[in-house]
Amino acid sequence: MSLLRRLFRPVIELAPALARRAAAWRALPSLNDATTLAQARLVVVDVETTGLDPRRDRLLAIGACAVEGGRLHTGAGYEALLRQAIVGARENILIHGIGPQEQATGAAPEEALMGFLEFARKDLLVAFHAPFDQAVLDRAARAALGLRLLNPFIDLADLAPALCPEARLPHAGLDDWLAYFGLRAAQRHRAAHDAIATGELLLILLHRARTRGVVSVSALRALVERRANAGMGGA
Amino acid sequence: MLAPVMEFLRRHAPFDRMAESHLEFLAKRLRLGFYAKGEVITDPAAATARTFYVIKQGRVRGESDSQSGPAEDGAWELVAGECFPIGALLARRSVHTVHRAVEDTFCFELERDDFERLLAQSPVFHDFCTRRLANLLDQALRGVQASLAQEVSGDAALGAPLKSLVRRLPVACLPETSIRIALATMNAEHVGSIVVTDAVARPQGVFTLHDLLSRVTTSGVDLDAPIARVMTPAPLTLPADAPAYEAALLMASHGFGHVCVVEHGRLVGVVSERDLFSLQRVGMVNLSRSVARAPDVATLARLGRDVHRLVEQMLVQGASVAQLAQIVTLLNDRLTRRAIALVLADGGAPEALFTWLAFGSEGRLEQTLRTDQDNGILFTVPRGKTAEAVRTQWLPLAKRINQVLADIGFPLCPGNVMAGNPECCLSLDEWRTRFERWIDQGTPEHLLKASIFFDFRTIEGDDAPVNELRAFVLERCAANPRFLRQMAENTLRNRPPLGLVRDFVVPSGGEHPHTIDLKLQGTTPFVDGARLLALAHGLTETNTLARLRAAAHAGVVRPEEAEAWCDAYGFLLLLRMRHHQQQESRGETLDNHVDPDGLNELDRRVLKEAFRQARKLQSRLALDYQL
Repeated sequence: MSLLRRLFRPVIELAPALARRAAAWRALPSLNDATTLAQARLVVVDVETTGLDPRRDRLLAIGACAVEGGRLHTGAGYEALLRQAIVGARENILIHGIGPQEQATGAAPEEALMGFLEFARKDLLVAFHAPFDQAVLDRAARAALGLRLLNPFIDLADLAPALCPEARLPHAGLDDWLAYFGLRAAQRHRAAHDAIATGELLLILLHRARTRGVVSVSALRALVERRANAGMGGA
Repeated sequence: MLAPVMEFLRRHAPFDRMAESHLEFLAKRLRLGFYAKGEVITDPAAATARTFYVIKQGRVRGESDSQSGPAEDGAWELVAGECFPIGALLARRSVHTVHRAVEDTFCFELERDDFERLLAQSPVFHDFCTRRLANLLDQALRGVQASLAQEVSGDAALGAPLKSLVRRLPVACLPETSIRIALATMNAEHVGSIVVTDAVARPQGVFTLHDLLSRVTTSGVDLDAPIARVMTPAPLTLPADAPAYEAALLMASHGFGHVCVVEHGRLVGVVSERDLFSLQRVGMVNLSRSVARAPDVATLARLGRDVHRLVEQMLVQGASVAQLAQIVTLLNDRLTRRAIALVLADGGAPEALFTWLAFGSEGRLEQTLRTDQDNGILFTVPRGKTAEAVRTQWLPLAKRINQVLADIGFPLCPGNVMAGNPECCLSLDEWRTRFERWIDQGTPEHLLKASIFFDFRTIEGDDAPVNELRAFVLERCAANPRFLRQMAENTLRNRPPLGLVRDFVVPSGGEHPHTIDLKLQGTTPFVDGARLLALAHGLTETNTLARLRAAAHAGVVRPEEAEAWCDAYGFLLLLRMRHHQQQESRGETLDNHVDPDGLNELDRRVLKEAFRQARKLQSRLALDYQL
């Protein structure tokens, strides 16, 4: 984010249509933190990558769906498989299950990312281990579109233990939380299925938040930040 | 992004039968809501129903908003895949039911406008919601069975862990083993399948005798080729502590006959479809053998209770009512035969030939759980003896048999339709005379008796005089249209309890307020109607389903009509069976009174459809006899 890095960022030439879409997205109003959770649109996102290093590994797939008015719009989500210039040999294929053939037939990265940004608008993004998704998506959006992913993120890995301390799962993974609530992803490690499973977890957590009197986006974010800070202090 | 939702929908009725485009329309518009345990989903206080719900996960309790009786009576549960509140949405009225999440529950939700659009687009969905088609009966039958499964699975064998079904070490080989050696192994071990595992016993594939035909013999594969080439890869596996019904589900949904049982990923056994279902069949074979060998009444009584339990398990396993009735009949017949044999061995049988007859539901092969005795004796009179003398010999024995039957679980008949009653212990001539009198005179009492006795069937002894008696009855009936007309009149007195607005008519007071009598108002119209068709058209069958089908075969009724009646009748029988089972598990006296509001939406609607079919059958009879 330093000035230097901004200056040295390669300039990306977008096709006119894409440039218009990028400009339109940039012009969208930012999220108003005072919005109530009942009104807010929360976008659950899950990415599949070639590995666990957000600075190096490539983005393979994006799955996203929105919670609006307390309802998860399961059938109206966003899903994209990104075409890969180089198809990795075996890498993470066993985890994400996206084979070389599928990797070669996906959408152009700029198209996939623009589509995702348009779906996400400037709304609150939600993910489990959000910093990873945030870093991967931001890097990919910069590379493909020259856009920064400016949306605020909420990390369910922090929100879940903050709202459900009784679960005693302070540093648990998504699978642990899904199991704790008896949720089942029809298929894990497929972005669309994971996004929906994560969305179900979010619905439960939003219900918890409501019963705790957490009504606004800002209050929810504050809760997560407190937990994140406390977690760091404790570590 | 539709895939996860579509996959869910495809697993449930009616979505599993909907066209792809309609399913997609639905999937795109569904939203997922979360309801914490105890939370109200639909509330009668709200104006009109605006949302269609499909339970994705969890359980929802419907509490009908009735003033009569405590809420417990009118409560039922809905589970994953079930939909509500269809009636209120169709009628654009408020929901009469409080739907409440019993546990944390996710529901897919569809706006009413979209619900109506889907209704207009998809005939399958429309049928499902309006329940006008008989094929919905099938779905309800499955539903009834599922709910029985929930109730009984606790102690039923299908709830047992898979490892308890593994009877032997698995027969396995490595992927590189030649087909020839694999086959030799299977042959030596007398098994129909072999599991292909890797070096640390993790299942890689399965090869069955069935595969031998299709993949080896007919496609000319070299027997020295590795088994891995012809095996079915990625076999179904389940952990050893998974319940047996999970294996059944898995097999059913994948169409595979084998499941590998694993512990920590390593093969410990194989469970085949046959293992699962032989659970009960073995039980049955053993049971009927034990019955045939039972040394005394006490043993027979214990076996009678086992029969009972077996029936419950069969219900759970999804046996149809027809199958079930066959099995119950078979076992009850054996129990009866053994009881007769024990008494006769003890008391010395008269020389005269005899036949033990069953009447009523036993005669129709329609016994469900406990049914009262309805039996009689037909004896031949030896030369030089009188019927009276033979009867005197038989009566004490018959009485003893009746008592033994009561001891082993068939209650004495309150109407005294029992072989120990002199009126039910007759020679062929006497039976003929008695039946002829009923047919000729046709008093209300005669008609009532005819409806019990004319469904006679042989349980033990000589069949020939029984066939003679049947031919006689059919001949007399055909010659006496007045009798048939009177029977028709009698039959039409039991009207199905449907109101003008196609809802149920239930008494508001009396002994059983707000209930429907599943026997008198439900099954009896079909039983009586089928008997009338049989008597009028010379059909020798005594079973209701068989009579209806025979009537179709003889061209008396249309086959579609007959099938719809059979479906409806089967559903009513099953509902009654479930009702009895529930009462029994609660230690209550069995009766046939069911509160329609206590049924789930699907059952209730199908029940209405069943009554509508009863009405059709009755209109047909009314037309035949100008009533």
